Parts: sequence; C-alpha cells; structure tokens
Amino acid sequence: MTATGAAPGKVILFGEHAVVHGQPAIACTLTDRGVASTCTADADGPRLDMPEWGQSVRPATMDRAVEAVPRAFALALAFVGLPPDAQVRVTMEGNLPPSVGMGSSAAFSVALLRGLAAFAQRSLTDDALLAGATQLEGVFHGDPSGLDHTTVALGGCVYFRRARSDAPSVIRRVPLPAPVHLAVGVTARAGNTRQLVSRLKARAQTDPRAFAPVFDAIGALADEGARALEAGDWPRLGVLFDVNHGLVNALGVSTLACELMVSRARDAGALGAKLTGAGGGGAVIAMCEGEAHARAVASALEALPEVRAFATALHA
Amino acid sequence: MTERDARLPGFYKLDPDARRALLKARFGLSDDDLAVLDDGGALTTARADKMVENCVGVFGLPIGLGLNFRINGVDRVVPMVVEEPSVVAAVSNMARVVREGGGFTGDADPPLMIGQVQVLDVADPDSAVRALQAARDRIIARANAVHPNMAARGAGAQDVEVRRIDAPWPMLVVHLIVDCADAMGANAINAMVEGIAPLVEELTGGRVRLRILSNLADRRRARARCAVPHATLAGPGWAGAEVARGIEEAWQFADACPYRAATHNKGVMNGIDAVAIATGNDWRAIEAGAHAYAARNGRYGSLTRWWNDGDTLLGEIELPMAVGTVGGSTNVHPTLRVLRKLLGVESAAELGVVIAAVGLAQNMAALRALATEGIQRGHMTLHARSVALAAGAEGSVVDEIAAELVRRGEVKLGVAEQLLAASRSGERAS
Repeated sequence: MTATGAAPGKVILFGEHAVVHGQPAIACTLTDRGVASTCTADADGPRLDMPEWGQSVRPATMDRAVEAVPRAFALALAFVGLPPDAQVRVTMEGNLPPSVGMGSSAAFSVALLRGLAAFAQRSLTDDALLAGATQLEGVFHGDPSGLDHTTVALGGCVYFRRARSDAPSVIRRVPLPAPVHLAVGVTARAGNTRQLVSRLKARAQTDPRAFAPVFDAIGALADEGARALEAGDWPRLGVLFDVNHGLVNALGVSTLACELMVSRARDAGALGAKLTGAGGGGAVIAMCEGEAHARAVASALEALPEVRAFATALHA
Repeated sequence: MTERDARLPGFYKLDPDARRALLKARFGLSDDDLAVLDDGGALTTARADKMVENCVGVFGLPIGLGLNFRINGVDRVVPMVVEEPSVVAAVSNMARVVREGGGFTGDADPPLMIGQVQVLDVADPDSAVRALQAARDRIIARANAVHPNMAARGAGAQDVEVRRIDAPWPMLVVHLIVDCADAMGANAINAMVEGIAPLVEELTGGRVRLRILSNLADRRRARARCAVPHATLAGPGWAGAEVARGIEEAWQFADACPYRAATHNKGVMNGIDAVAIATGNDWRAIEAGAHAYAARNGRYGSLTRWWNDGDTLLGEIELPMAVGTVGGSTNVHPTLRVLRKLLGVESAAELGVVIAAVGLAQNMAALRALATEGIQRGHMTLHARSVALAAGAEGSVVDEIAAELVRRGEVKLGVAEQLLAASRSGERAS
C-alpha cells in the first residue's frame, strides 16, 4: 500500500527572534511550497530516501553523535506506533529553499509524521501532530520557539506566543479576509538558525537593557499586524513590515544581502519589506497589492545577483 | 442534515415572487439570499470584470428548480440554470415518476483525476519507463510538495502510471493520479504536473512538452440508477408496459447508432449542464469527459442504459463527473452560495450523484416523450380511421380523412363529416 503525507512551508510575517524571547509572532503557511512523503511497504525494513538531497538513511537511536534525520526518523516511527523495524520505505521531496526560515525542517517533520501515520492507518489529532512535531523539531533545532511547527501543522495564518513563566502559550488563527500577496526573495547563501538564535540570546542576556525594549517593540508590532491582517489593510501592513525590519536589523541579524533585497523591493514599489526567518543571509518578504504587483516586485528582486524570488498568495 | 421535502405541489402555478417566498419558509433562505436570486442582480459588472478579460457586462440566464428528486433516500430540490424550455419540467415530472418506485440510487468513484506529462525525444523508452516506475514514490512526493495542503488533508497525488505511445508519433505519457477531495482539481493538478516535469525529464532523458490535466476523468465516474414499475408509466391513451418497451427500443437506437447517440446524449447533457452551471462547475469539462467516455469502446454510444425486467423499467447512467463543491468560481459568484444552500449537498461525490440522476431523469423524459408520441400517434391514427369510417368515408378517402383529423388534432365525428362533405363537393375545407 501507499500512504502520503505533506506539509506546507511558511513565512514569518512578524516577530522572528523576539518570539524566542516570549514575544508574540505571526506566521502563515505557503500554498504552493512544502515537503511531502510517500510511504510504501518494503520488506527491506525502514528506510528514508531523500533523493533530492542525496540521502538514504535508516532510523537511528537518540545518540547525539548521529545525524538529525535518522534520529528524527526513529522518533517519528515510534510516535505513530510503528516498530523500529517497520517494513516501510519513505520517500521525501520538497521544494522549499532550505535554511532560510521557510520552515523546511518543520515541514519535513510534519510531512514525515503525516505519511507514517497514514501508513500505520492512524489518524492524528492536531494536538497529537503538534506534540510529535515538537519532538522532531527538538532534534533539528534544540530549543525551537514552536512557531514554525505550530504554523506548519495547523496551516493558515497563526498568531503565536510561546509559554512563559508568567503565562501559558497562545495559539490563535488569524482570519484573512482576502489573499495576502507577497514577493519573496531568497539568497543563495543560507544562515544557520541555531547559531544566530544562540548568539543573539547570549548578547541579549549580557545586555538586557539594550535588547529588551527592541523585543517588546517587535511584539507590539505583531499585535498591530494581526489587526491589520484581519482588516486586510495592506498599506498598513507594509508600514509594519518596514518598522519590523528596522527592529530586526537592530538585533544584528540582518546582512548586506538582506538589506539589498529589502531596499530593492521598496524601490520596486512594494508597500513595505522585511527580513523573514532567522536572517544571517536568508530571505525577505515584501508586501504587495495584488498578484501582478507581487510578480513585478519578485522580478525586480531576481535582478539582484544570487537572488531567487517568487510571488505568492497567502490564504487563511 | 435538514429533512427536506422535494415535492412542492403547485409550485409551477405560482409567480416567481411567490415561489421565492415559499423557498424562504421551506429552506431557511434569508431576504438577502432571495434578493440575490432576483433579476440576476447578484453578479455585478465590477466582480465579473475580475473573472474574464475585456468584460462589458453580465449575462443572465433563468434559474429553475428541478423538483421531486429523491436520491439515495434524500429529497433534493435541484437548481438548474438553462435557457431551453421544458428541461426543468421534464426532469421534475420524471423525478416524480421515479420517486414512486423509491427514487434514484447512485454512487460516485473516489475523486481521482489524471494529470498528463508528455515526454518527447526519449532515446531508450524501455529504460525510461523502468526509471519512471522505480521513481514512483518520488514523483508522488514531488507532486504533493507543490500542493501540500491537499496531501495534508489526506488527498493529493496517489499514483503514477506510464503510457507508451509508439504510433503515429513516439512519446511517453506520464499519468499522475490525484485525489482531489471536494475540489474539481484543475488548478492543483496543473501545478502538480508542472512541478514534476523537471524530475520526469531527469528520469527519462527526454524533453517534456505538455503538462496538463485530462478531462477524460474516467477514474472519477458518477452513477445513478432507477427502477420504475410499469404501472407508474401509464398515461391517458397508453399502457405502462407499452411506454417501457418504447423507452427500451428508443435506447436501443441510441446504443446502435452514433447519429442517434449524439442527440440522445445531448438530451442527457441538457439536465447535467444545467446543474453544473447552477453549482459553479465547469460544464465544458463535464461535456468533454462525457462524450470522450461515450466513445471509449471505439464507437460513440449512449451514456445511459434502459431495459425491462418483468414489469419494471430499469435505467442507469454512468459518466465521468469532475465536479467540486469548493474552489473555482464557487467563491466569486454570489448566486452560487444561495443555490448551494437550496441543493444542500455536502461533498463533490454527493453532487456528482445528483447531477447523474438529473441526467438520467432528463434522458428518461426525452425517451418517454419520443416513445409515447409514437404510441399516441399510432392510437390516434387507428381512432381517426374508425371515426372517418363512421362518418361514411370509403376506400382511399378513409386514410385521407383520418390523416387530416390527426393533423388537426381533432379526431371528432363532426369534423370528419365536414371533411367528407367538402371532399365530396370537390373542395377542401380550409
């Protein structure tokens, strides 16, 4: 038998980095980019093929020395109740640019869980899927904020704040009255999310009086952003993108490539633009009015060296 | 599910305002819903301008309701958008007759559609086919990554098949089988075959040309059936068994002759297209699929089948049914929302069965009319001959008078006598 699973990629609209420090953030799944798994019975035992990335692995124990993918595979098998020697071959494919903050590891985790659950003929509730994805994301990211896999597992536009010592986590869907048209630019040079997050954490701990107000301001923008999204107020969202980008820049995670893309998008008539994801190379999003506008801004971004760009429409 | 009663006796006698008022009471429509139905005012030019290019206005068509339908035990009032007179009345009448025998039953296949990738210049077709088959899982995953939300809901790409065409032009055709859930699926499939094209080129060493869905949706068929006791077919001047035999013979004509089958199927599509339009579905796609399916055995034939078993007339229809209840124009056109509320189907499969049942009802109406017309004319001619004889006609004059009586539709002794007198005085009655 064949079972399939998939999960979309995502973009962070507001609040990257600040979300790690307990501030709210908003992310939304992509409609035409993600990761998918095909699971087929195979007497050869469990194997995970990722031909696109030239990988073919067996599940491995939780030994930290082992690479993340085999460990995630073992966790996923156990999570859906399949034995460690299950006769299943998983083939995975994706079309997300890796390591630029589009949720490739979260989409990988959720697509793997969905495919294996379907193979095991088990249905996963949203809560179970989130719990499983949290485990797998832990393998890839150490201490994930939860924004990525929460958004990817639930789908749509999600307002998220991680649990703090003084308050439980907040997960809320943001209804979008109409598609949100974005141009997305991606640089060839990818950043290392884990490194960027831990470096910023160290700096913020050393000098909380410098960084805390910036995190607070970013959190406030996420709240404003949720209202503007629900109202379909694209020009306001553009302004909020610009301000958010300035604050992320203040955190020291932007790069020359990101600044070039943001600046080019604004010159091309975008309503506003910002870095999305962890930064350190990475990706930018530009708020646009309608599909044609988004395509025009995307092609302006593509004119930059080593930049790939596309237009996308986000749906609730 | 709300309990509906699809019988609305005397509905046809009301004026449109009164009909809408009745719908409001019966189906929980709001005043806003009713306003949407009135005078086609719902779709504005501004909105239409977002739908097509060079838009200059909005075109109106009548919305009629097919009544009396009972399908799989559920009553349905079926909205039909059609400009041709008699279509709505015909299906409503037949649904009333079929209802007496228990109504229609039907089922639909899983919503599997086919996306095609045409591969040219393949140097070694045998090994290319093997490579494609070996990479089946990978191709499926690549397709699903392009439309992750579909596969996340348990639908999406499911399988890959390869067709090898050697003549007249050598090519490979990769079929991607996609479960479209409650969507028609055209956009998703087109994105998916676009997404797998580079992988197909890599695997085959060939050159991909076309990548697009197939409208011959023969994996996604809908069926409807009915069993009609002969007694319910009886009418003034004809016996039920006679009508049933007439319907079977009329069907045999369509089954045997493509010239008749085209007209026969056109009648089926009178019903099917009307519901497809009223539910925001692409009726050209349904038409294309239906006619291609009707020719699947190499000769174009009937989409329906009629036969008699004892004193029961049995009918069935089967055809590809690529329809959706989500996506497409359903979100753009305000009238569709109201009509969907009236129809009350919950899935694409349910809608497919309703549409098939309407097609079968329309076909039954057409065949019955053609068959009873023959019977009626036969009866009338016999009757007219005896009337002409009673009036005193003799020899070849009997047939002349009888024919004239039938032509006038007045098979009466008085008229026959007048005609006879006129004939004898050497002039024809005007």
